[in-house]
Amino acid sequence: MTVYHLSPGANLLLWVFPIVVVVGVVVWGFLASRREARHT
Amino acid sequence: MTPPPPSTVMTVAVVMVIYLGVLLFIGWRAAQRTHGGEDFHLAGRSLGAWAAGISSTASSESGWVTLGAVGMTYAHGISGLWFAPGCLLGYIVNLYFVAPRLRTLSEDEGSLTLTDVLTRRWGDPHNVVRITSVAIILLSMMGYVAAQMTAAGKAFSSTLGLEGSRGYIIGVLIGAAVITAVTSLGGFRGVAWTDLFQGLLVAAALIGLPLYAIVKLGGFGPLIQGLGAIDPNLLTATGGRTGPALLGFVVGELGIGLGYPGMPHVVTRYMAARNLREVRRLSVIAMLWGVAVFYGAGLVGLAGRVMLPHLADGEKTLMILSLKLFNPVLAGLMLAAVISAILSTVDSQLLVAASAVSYDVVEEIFGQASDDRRSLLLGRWTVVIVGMIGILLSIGHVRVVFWFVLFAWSALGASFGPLVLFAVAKKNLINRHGALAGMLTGFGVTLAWKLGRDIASNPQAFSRVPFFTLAVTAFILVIARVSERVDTGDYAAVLAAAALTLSSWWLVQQDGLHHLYELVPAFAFAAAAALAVSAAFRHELASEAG
Repeated sequence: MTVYHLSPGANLLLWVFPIVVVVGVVVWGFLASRREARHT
Repeated sequence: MTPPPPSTVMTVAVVMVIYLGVLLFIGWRAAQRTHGGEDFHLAGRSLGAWAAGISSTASSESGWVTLGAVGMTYAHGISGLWFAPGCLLGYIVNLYFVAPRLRTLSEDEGSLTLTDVLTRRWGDPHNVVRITSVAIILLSMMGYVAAQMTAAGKAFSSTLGLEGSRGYIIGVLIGAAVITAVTSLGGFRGVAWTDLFQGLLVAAALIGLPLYAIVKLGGFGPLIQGLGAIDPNLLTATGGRTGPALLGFVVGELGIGLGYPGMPHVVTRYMAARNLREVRRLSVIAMLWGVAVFYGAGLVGLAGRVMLPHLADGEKTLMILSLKLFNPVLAGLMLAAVISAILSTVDSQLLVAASAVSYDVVEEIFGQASDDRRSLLLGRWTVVIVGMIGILLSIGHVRVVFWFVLFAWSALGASFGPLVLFAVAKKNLINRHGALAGMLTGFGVTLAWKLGRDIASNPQAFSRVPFFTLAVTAFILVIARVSERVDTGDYAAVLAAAALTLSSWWLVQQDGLHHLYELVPAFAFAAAAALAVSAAFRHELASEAG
């Protein structure tokens, strides 16, 4: 029986891109709120 | 597919009635807090992060996210997901660059609409920019609103078991009446609150359904094996495309994101946020919503391809999969999510179109309804009238409205996107003549390029573009000359837009260029026109100011 795999590009599109975006957004939000807390 | 049993239809109908009741209740609560013009057009700049954030994203994603995006991955597999990075890049520009700057700028200027922002940013002594902006918004939005009402009518009639053309008309009337009532009574706040409710429903459906479907399939491994067995190309990012076809496809999908900064019904949400802290919070909420919804829709399409491999129309995957997998109550909620995606867009567009007439034209140009109560009444009645026009267009099955949905995204994106970016970046980057050139060029190039891409279905319309462009240009110039309300820079802007529209009409006929999604060249031409005309008349405006 043939075993299928996602191509490397498909892995980037399906997994890597959204994970990078989510981690980036959460880290940015956390840093921004800390910066804001320091200023107030 | 066999139709669901009557008991299921009845349960789904009950869920729908409850859903519509919730929308009306929210609209009524919002109406109690809407007392004047600023409340009606911009919720008194008092929205919290959740309402402003989810409303901005739910407004930008119409029924295409629950129908079209699902159909993309159903048909093309993983390569159908290229729209997601395109849209998310548009979100990033909007949320992290445009939103905080636009919030500050609009409050400093006292602007209530996007047209207001642009005219106050660069001055508009003769209302030339304002009139052009309103005309483009109305031309683009009315077809868009009517098409969304048509989609809502079809969704309601099929989920409520209403049959035939009579059932369709009842479906349109139910959806349109509820959404017009909510928008008219609650104004911006009603739209934002119902969008929050509907946006969360869409996100819940697009997270829950694919997770459940993948678990039912036995996990992610069986999903991949199932897709590969149907067609190994479904598991690649190229989908088997090569060369110019691949490039055109990827650029087109990524190019969708260029539209976001120019959507008046989206960017006004940022202007309505309570303060900059809420803008920062809403950017996180909106981004996470975007990732969940885009990838959720993509996964529904992938799971649907394996579980229901022989659907004639992949865009119905979500609805059919829900009825297959869930009990009637949950299936009803899923179908309510499909309709939510449509209605959360149509209410925002209805309000933008109505604000363009009642605020930008009647109040600002004609100076009517100067007190808050009259401004509120005027806004409410304009929503009712615009809503009724939308209902008539959708009941009349005006064929051109579906063409307008795709056209409107590109036309608004190209006409306003570059200007919004210039406006928030720096005050003196362009001036009012450049703004006029940018708007007209964005609209003209979109029209010419889109007709060029659709030439097979309507060759006559494309062949008439030069005549139409010259006729409209001559008409504008004659009106301008007679009214004596424009100056040399405005004439130059109109002529530049005409020249670029004609150039794009010629360009799109060149080998291979018709593969290019119209928003990409239209956006670039509009930005270039705005910068070039502004540079040419910089000194004239400087001496005028001095």
